[in-house]
Amino acid sequence: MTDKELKKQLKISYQISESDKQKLFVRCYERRFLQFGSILRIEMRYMGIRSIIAGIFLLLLMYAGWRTENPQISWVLSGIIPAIAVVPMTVMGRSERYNMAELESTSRFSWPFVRLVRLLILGIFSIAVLTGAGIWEAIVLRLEIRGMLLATVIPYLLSVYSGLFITRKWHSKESVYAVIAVGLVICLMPIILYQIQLMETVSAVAVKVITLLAFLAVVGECGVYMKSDEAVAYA
Amino acid sequence: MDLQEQYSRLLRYCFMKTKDRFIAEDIVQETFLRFWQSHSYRNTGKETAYLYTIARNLCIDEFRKPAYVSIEECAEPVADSRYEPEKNLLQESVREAMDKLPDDLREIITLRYVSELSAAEIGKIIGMSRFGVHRRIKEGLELLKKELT
Repeated sequence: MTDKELKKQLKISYQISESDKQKLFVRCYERRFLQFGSILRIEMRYMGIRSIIAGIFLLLLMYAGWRTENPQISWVLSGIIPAIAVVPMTVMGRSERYNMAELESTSRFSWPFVRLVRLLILGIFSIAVLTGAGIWEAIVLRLEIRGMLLATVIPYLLSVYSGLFITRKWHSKESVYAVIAVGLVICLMPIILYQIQLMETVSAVAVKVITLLAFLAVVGECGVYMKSDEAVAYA
Repeated sequence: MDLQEQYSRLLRYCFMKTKDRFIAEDIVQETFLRFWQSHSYRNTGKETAYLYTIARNLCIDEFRKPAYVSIEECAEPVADSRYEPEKNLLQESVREAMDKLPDDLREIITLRYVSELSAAEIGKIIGMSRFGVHRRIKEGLELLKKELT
């Protein structure tokens, strides 16, 4: 037997067929090499096209308000802004429902970390929406701080809080509907309160206290959401 | 190198050492997990050598474990071609000849021709110079040929 033939036979003699166990391991192991940027891009998709459409609609509404110089548009805006918070929340709820947690946990990042990234994206999105709306209200509508908090920040925070709470508690299809229903109530609330002129009776200090409480509630809910048991997510 | 390819080569090496597909597969997976956990070594450019060193040590640990008889071994053997290397007379005799080689030579031959590592990489794994590895490979091949004739 020649050297060449012997070397060839050596390679063939120890050839082992690929098993399912091998395929599964390789697939999971490759996911461990995901970089932070990749996980951020994956999670960005949870914002979905609907969030972008809602954002464009909001910009159009702001533009309409600027053209018509109608101050009442701020109350319509306060009815729209919480809905924008609801849109990504429903997508997040859908992820929980389809057990995406299981898939995502095979990446090198832990499940609480994935949730943190998701909340980070939601936070950046929220700040962008609130800043845009705030600047527009201050320049175009010349609203004071109290008006801005009442019209945009409080409904938005309430919407985020309720969305996170429902998403964390329920992992069924109904949770998405519940988020939308609660979001709708929050959207309609400021408009109704404005129509019955109840908003005018709330003092500036009370508005600031309510805002602070709503903010703390959202932060607390974010913490609980992030730490909530993985077993619940798989349920 | 492709992870799939690296996995297969490492599996062949561990299979040669343990002679058991299931144990070899467990060792390969454990090797990759340990490799991933050791952040300090990974970026030094000696990944392959490090990977094989982990696998080699895990195989040694496996031999140190107390011998036991598994339920599968007690039961009637079931033919499962998926987990058996191809049955072929020539290949069988090559494997038999390999088993007769001294341990160090068998390991070097396996790393070179079964796992297809370079002499430099083998040198790093077993702590030998490149020329030493070449000499041992030549010696091993001669012995193998003698066994086969």
